[in-house]
Amino acid sequence: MSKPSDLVQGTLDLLLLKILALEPMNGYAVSLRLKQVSGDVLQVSDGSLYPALHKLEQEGWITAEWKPTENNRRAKFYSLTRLGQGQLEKESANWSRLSAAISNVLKLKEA
Amino acid sequence: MRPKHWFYTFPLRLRSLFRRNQVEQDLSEELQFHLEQKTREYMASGLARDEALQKATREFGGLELSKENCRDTRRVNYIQDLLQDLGFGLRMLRSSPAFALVAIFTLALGIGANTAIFSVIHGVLLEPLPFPKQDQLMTVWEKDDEGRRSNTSWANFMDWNRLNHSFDGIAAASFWSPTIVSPHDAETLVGFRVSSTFFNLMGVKLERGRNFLPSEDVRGNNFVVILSYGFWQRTFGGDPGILGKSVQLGTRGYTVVGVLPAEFPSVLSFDPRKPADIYTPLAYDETLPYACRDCRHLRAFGRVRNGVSITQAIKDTADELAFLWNEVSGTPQP
Repeated sequence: MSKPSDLVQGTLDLLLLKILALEPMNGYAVSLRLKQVSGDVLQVSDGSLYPALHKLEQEGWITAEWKPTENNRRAKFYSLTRLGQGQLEKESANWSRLSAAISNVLKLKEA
Repeated sequence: MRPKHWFYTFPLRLRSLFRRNQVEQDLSEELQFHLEQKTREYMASGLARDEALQKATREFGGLELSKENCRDTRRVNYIQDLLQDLGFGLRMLRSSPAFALVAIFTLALGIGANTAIFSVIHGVLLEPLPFPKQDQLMTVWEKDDEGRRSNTSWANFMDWNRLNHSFDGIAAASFWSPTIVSPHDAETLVGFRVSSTFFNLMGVKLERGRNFLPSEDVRGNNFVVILSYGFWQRTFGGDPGILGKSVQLGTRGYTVVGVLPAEFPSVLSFDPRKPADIYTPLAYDETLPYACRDCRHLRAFGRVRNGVSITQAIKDTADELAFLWNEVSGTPQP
């Protein structure tokens, strides 16, 4: 599985926060959901998924809980905190600004 | 760090520090769960269990590395790593005791030498002398023809006292080495003859007894001594009844009138290894041949008056000397 194209750490954080804003889920489910909603375009490598999630946890933007899954296995479920909500909004705004700027540059007509 | 943030992270930090085993176990379990889910996924798409597991593991790309990265996020790492390294170091030392001993010995030597040197420098240079307002104390020298410092003479000293305005007082000292005679042996002491104002100038409070009186600073009346603390302890065993006792020096008996405090260092001693033991009044005899103006065997000390700067005092003294020289040049010795 290749790294998502051009995704820097900041953008990955943004995506993870958003997915967890939808509903609490474990790490595997997050990567699966991301893949699904982006039509296989955005895929997080397993190796970088968990360090990213742990970093978000250490920052206080998500919080974790061990819960049993459907097959009665124990898994670590993450959910967004209020602090994380604020961070999500901030980073979304940044992203919009950034992508709008890039679009504007790309729209420039060649002389 | 914002306070709200702390609410979430503080328990995490504590947990990372104190429940490390649990944290590690959780980490393993979390990643293991992920692998199992992946394996299940591949099995659902037709692969056999072993192949599915292999594929999942391969795609994870470095389980241990991932774990290490997760640990890095925890940020209490530095403490843990430090402790780990310390423990490792200690184990290594224990396994090679010879090396450990050599290392410890070398360190001890180095630290000891450094401490010793510093103590000396501290005592000699850095520690201020136990005199009150000691930046006002100065030794007053004359400059000889070659520009070197030289001692001064009685006549000059008297004139300085008379003429100067920048010093609160000037005292003179000359070297004295009496021989103390006791029934079994004789010992040559290191001593000084000092003006009666000397100890007052220094601001010294005697341990016992009193300072010299001006009346004792006259030849004939001067058979009194003040002992240094060390000398009193050493030779008289710290005798509490020492005051008034007579000490045989040379052919005469001198009465002990005072004892200096222990902290009084020997500023005058020419040999730092042999501090001055005993002091007697200067009691200058002007009739003797060495009272000449050019017989420079006295050292003068002065305390600069309050409010007068050192440079001012130096300048004034130089001026006074010049004045003095003019005054006496050409006239025969009095």
